[in-house]
Amino acid sequence: MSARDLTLPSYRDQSPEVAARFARIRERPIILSVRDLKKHYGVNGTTRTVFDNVSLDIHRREFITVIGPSGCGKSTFIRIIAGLDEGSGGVALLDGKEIGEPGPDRGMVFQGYTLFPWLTVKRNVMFGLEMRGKGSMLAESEARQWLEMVGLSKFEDSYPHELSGGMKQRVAIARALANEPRILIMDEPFGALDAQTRCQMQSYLLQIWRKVDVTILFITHDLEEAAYLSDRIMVMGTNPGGIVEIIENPIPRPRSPAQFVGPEYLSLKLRLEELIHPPVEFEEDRLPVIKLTTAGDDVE
Amino acid sequence: MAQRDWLGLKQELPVRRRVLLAILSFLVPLGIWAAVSYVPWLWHPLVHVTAIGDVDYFVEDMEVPRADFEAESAKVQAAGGTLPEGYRVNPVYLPAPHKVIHAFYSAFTTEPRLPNEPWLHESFAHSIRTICWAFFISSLFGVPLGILCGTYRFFSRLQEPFIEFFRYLPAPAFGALCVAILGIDNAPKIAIIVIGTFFQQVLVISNTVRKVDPALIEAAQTLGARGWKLMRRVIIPASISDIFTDMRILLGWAWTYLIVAEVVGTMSGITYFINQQARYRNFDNVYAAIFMIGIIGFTSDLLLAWLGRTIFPWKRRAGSAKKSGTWWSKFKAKPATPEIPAEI
Repeated sequence: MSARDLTLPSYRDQSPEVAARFARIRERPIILSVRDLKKHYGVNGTTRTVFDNVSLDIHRREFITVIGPSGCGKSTFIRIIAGLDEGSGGVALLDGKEIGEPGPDRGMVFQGYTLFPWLTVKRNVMFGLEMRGKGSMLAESEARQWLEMVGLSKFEDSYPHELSGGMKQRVAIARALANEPRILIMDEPFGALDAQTRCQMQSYLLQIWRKVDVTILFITHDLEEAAYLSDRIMVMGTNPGGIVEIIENPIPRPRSPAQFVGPEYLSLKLRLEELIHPPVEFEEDRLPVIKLTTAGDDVE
Repeated sequence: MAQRDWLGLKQELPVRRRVLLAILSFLVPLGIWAAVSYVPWLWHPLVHVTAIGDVDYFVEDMEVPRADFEAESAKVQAAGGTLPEGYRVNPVYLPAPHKVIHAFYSAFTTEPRLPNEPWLHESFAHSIRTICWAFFISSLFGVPLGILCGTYRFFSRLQEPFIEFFRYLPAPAFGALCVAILGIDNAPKIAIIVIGTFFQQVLVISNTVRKVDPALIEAAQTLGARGWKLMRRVIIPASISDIFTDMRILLGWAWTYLIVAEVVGTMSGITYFINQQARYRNFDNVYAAIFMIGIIGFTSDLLLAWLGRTIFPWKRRAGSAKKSGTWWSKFKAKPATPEIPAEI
């Protein structure tokens, strides 16, 4: 039985609640506005285009995921937003102001944790606060609050190497959020975790997002993760690099793993699969025939 | 745990075996030395003459090569005279282990022969003072410059080509120049150690700083750190423990340059002691002094390694150190790290 035998709704069909939610989101102020963003590399005189004409508006408290096959430039895209790379053209505006150098208004969580190994958990969270000139007393009490938020108060005096991967990533989230960024950029943050921990971390992130006024731009290559977390999914492709489609996620909130068998999820997943893994034309006639053994001739 | 192989590929050995092998690594060369010294038919190329017999040119207590002794004996025997007597010995420059061990004590009590010569402890104090000054001066400029070169390509491109060139100029070659400029006292010696250490130091440290994980720097930038703060709060702490390890290795090199430097101008310090003792043919004292340098270097390195583990607690990986906390933590009421619960 193929997926097409099921009578699935279109991934564009939204229940009234979901449609109303997207209408409300569209009315919120725009936090990040990207217009015709380009990235080219010059290699030996020829230019290689990573992506072209990426335009996107992200509204306040929206959860956007970016997915795409490897090499589509999704990491480059968010590194430009974060200010760690420079674009080759187009503009990106944060609250109407053009983005420049990296700064605390764009918090970032990396796949590789990037906690400072010489600082305790608490001092890691205090780092950004101190960089912004907050006194150490104030920074400490705020850091404690954020650690409580991610459930790591007991570990405030531990060093990062004493924590598990999931705990490290929670510290990294607390550290980024402590700066009260306008947008939280997450670059495959759970990619290095095992499947079970990743699941827990996703639920965890949704809980935090509900409690904190923050807009999230989240990169992943995991379709389920994108479907579970996001409001909108920006699908990027290669050749030509750029946006293939921006999909409004039809799965209603609050989300739960039970929805992984629901019709909205299946139709969304099907669409994402089509976009990301296009069917491979397999020309069997043109493949060389290599006989390995004669014993297997009657295999079929 | 299953009994593991002694020769497991890239497998760490249990602690007892490690200690055993460490002791053995010292015992094997010591055993060879003892064997050559105490087993009379091993080597012993000379004969210590106890009775001269009828050989004209023999003197009592002289040491002659065995072949000569046997030839003379044969000659005397043929002439029907009295045979010389003697026993086989090693050359004076290979004293037996017990003599050297005794010299570890007696070298300190050997009175200098000349009134203005230093005692052994004075020689050592002089050498250690020289090396400390030299290493301090070298580090005073070398460490900051190394960090700058490692952090900013500007300084790296500006300094490193010249330093790469200069480090190939052998430091002792500057000996005469240093004496001409700085006089014959301790200053030229310090200068030579500085020349030998400084350029390596800049290159080694800048290389270490360059190896700081760029992701950490990027993370710090997204947290609002830049410029001087980025350097002080991220780049330096991220590399400081590796710089410390570099310094330990560089201190070892400084000892090598010390011996060279002490020959320059008027000989001084431990090199002077060793040379004088060799001249007086007190080779047991010579060996004792050389070994003492090794012991001082080795123990100071162990001390620094231990100090490094103490001041950089984050470098102690969970597996490598069972006991968490620093040596002072027993004086400081600090809650132990809570047990890590099930994942998240």
